[in-house]
Amino acid sequence: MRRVTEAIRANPPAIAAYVLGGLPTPERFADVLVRVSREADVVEVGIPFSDPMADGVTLQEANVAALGAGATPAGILRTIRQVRDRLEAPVVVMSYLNPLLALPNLPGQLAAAGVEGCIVPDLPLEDADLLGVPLVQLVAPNTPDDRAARLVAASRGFVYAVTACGTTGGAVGITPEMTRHLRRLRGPTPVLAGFGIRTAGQVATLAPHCDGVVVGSALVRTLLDGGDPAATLRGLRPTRSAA
Amino acid sequence: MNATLSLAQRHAAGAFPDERGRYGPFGGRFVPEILVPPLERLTTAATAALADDGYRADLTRELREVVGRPTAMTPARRLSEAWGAEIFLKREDLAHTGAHKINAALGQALLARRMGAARVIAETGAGQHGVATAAACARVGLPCVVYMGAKDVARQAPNVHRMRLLGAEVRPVTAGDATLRSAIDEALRDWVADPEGTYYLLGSAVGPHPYPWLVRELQRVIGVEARAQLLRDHGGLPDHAVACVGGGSNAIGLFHPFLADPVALHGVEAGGTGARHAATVAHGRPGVLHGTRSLLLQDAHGQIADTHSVSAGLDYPGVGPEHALLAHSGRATYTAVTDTEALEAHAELCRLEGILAALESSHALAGARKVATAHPGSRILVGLSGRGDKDLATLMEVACAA
Repeated sequence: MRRVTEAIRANPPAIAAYVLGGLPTPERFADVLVRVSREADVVEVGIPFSDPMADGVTLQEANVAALGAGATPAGILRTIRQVRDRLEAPVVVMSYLNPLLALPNLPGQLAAAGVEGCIVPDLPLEDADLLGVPLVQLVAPNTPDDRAARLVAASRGFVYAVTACGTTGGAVGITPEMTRHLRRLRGPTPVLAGFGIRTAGQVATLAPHCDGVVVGSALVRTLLDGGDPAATLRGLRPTRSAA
Repeated sequence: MNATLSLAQRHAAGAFPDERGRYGPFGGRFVPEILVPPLERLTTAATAALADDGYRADLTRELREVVGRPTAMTPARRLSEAWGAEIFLKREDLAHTGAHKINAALGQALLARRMGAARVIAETGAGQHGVATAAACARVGLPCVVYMGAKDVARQAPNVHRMRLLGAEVRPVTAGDATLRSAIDEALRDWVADPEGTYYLLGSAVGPHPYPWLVRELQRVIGVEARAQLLRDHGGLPDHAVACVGGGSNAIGLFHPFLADPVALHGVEAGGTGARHAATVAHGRPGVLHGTRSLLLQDAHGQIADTHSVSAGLDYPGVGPEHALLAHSGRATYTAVTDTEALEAHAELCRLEGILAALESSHALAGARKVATAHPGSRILVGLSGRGDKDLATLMEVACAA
């Protein structure tokens, strides 16, 4: 996860871009991954699950679409492995526990694909060693301070600050509670704010309070609508020239 | 705990769930971080309530005055004669709102009020838990939203009307497979959006800790009563106890008080058409769904399988973690009966005993008939979990198709 931390530190406010494996089609996913890696500082590759309980409507729809198009966890890791030399940003995998448990030798498969680690929303801190891979920990606004400190200490690569109470894709605004939430997470591991980020204005507003943002639903929406996710990412970073 | 004791003995001695909410290799709390604080709060509040004389007295009184407990124990004389075994029916179909679901709904509604919740949400499959939750919320004075798969809304229309009459808002869920599983997904999403003010009133012995334990504790009344009734009025313990298993709340309620007794426990799952089914213990593999590690129907890639059963209440790809442990330890056995076998047992109970059972409960009857065939003359306790009025449309369709 050292590469992830370095990539975020090198370019604040960093953008971690979430793309769902197998979208828009399993064949075209490789191209999307390469193009997004040129615009983002970190790429999160989602592995679809039939029951994505932490996700909102957009990502539910996307998970169904990806599985319907024939995406499989092993196939997505194979694609990452095939294009790993062309990727310009480090990659982490985001998925639910059940599809990851079904992958034989997960640490070996991730290493072969050059994946740095995982984000697993339904894998609690108490079971952090279950998969045998480095984990980015998520911290919610309602997480008590002592537990938040333990999550921050256990987190690898970056700390994923959930900035809205709710599933992915909701609205985000900056409240005093949120700045306090982000402030308590600051430490040696960079903090990225996620859940509901879709405009350059939001990125600019959050920037002083964290090391960057995760863009998920907005990017997946673009993919579902047949748009160019690289362009969406550029739009979030007005000060950076197009690659 | 003494390591020389078997898993089943430790289970009977009360070792599960452990302090982490585990049932041996199953159970636990696999949820997004945002749900950890409300689940901690619920665990603390439920533990305190169940140990509190005031709460227990309230619950006991409500169960007597509202639910109509204890429910009857019916020796099924003509069915016994036909099957060549002594059949006893624990009549949860006679409970208020027509099924065992009211036990956990009322217990949790009282808990929600005690915890100061502003609203209650619930999921429902057959609609029985939704109806029970709507009634319990009306009784304690809390607003109630019920999530129900769109497919179930269509096949359980009378229960949808019933919930609405009882003051609940029913939200059909079209995402996913539009059955119980999608309804749970959606209820969890609702809870994630307001984890402090909302009480999630889960209906089965599934989900993250403390739910499988809390629901079991509230459903144990079925087995506690049955055991006392058989000992007092009907000559002693049964040789076998049989219950249907979807998520498994009525089965764990019936089984748990018999764990230390020499009583064989039989869970009966939905075998569907044979090829398409919801027989999780029979065909499932360990995995994590809806916050708990248990046996699941899933494909080789860990994607959850679509299920089928003629009874909406058994149409679920997972099973409560305590049932996974009972299967693992061998303390209980799990078999599947087909839609057709359940319908035949349903018809037999109607004709011979004048009881219209729910299609879910008819699976238990069909399973009991097989136990009777294998063990002639034995004493068999059957959990009749609910009444079948809600299934009239399905039954009429089947009758017309035959």
